Amino acid sequence: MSYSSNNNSSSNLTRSSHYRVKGLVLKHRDMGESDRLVTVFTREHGKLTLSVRGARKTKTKLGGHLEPLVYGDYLIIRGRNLDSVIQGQIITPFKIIKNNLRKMAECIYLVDLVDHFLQDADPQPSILDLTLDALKQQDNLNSNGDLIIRSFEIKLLQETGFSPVLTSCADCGIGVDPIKNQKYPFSAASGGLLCLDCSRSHSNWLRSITGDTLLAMNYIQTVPVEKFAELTLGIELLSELESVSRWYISYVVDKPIEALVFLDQVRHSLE
Amino acid sequence: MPQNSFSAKSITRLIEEFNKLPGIGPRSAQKLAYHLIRNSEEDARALAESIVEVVSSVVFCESCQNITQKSPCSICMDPGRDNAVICVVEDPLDVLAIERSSAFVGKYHVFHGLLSPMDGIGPEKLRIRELLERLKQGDVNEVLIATNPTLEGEATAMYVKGLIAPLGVLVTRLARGLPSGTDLEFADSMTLARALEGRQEF
Repeated sequence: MSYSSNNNSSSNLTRSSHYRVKGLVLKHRDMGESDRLVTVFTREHGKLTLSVRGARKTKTKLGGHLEPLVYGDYLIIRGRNLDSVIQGQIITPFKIIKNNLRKMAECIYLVDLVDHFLQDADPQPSILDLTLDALKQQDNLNSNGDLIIRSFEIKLLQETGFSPVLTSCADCGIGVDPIKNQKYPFSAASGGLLCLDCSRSHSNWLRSITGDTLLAMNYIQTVPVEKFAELTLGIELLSELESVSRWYISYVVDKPIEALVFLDQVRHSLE
Repeated sequence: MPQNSFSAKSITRLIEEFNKLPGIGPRSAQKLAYHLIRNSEEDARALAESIVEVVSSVVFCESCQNITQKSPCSICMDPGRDNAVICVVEDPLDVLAIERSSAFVGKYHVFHGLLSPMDGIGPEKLRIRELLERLKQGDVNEVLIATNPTLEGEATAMYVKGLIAPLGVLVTRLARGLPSGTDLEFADSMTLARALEGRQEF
């Protein structure tokens, strides 16, 4: 992975007053008169909430280095209640994403989704790499955002252990071989495909899914992120994938993903 | 607040009210409350009266949406200002900041917020519709978007630009670059890139 860390500071959090991390800024919010709170998904310590003193002042040395959707290298000082970023250097600014409204809205959704799946201070380097690779794919004017987001959702579910069962019944385990143009019962509560017999005992969080979408989801799980852009999925298939993923993720996350509303508004305004 | 359990009810209430203000934590709220109690009654009454006066007399300007005592506000009514240029800002404090520069002679439009997708603040919560209505009247030929150079500010600027573009009005953005009196070596790569893109003949 091009983003892998050469930093061995994983134990520094408890040993020293300072520690250094590489991380992706997920979000920020204003605090006090001129400070900010930033949520950084770090390689070494997972998701951290950090304060940045004076980040909103014009002459800040740090503000620009700690904007959401920036991957950077940060020096942090331990605090009594909250650790503070004291130095920062951008590694990847993802400039194209920030100059294109649709890409920006898609990537804000992407990091919002990641934020929902992460626990505080729980290192998840493989999810960080997945996120950075997806953002890298998005940071290209010619990339297909829909395709990248759909593939990312499936990979994220896989990495976090919520991958739906796609080739056997999620309840009884009997093998199911999805066929194109056929419809199958799919249960979010059971975590995947159901055989007809088992589906009769379900009513909530049950929907039908085509064999085409099941096959596509199964295939995406095997494709590395850097190959997302090479996938060829038709508009109808992408549309069903979107509908199924959103439905399934809403069950898993169990709270609204606010950035999704904005993504839909942006897509609507650009149509 | 356990430390307030022995305080008078009215003091507890005052502390709670201060605590609701932005940037005021429980400790600061206590300090402010006890400062008012220790100070003269006259000062406390003057503060209370000014708060009541502000909340009962302040309105939104029907044109620019800024906070004012009389609508339309003094800036919108000023015949010396250019009607053809509107500067769009996030909140009323940004109007004051731009006015301090004495470099802008057009009029303003205040959104009262920025798009913040992760906090659920969408376009319907900002005063964007009012801006579009002003533009449809046809007197404006330039909209200067002066939102903050943050992710939310950029998202708002790009979203609004998409809505204004079909109306045939020129959309401009505040320049981005290095603040005066700072060291080049501390600038982040995005700011430096923007400063290089926006370089001018010297």
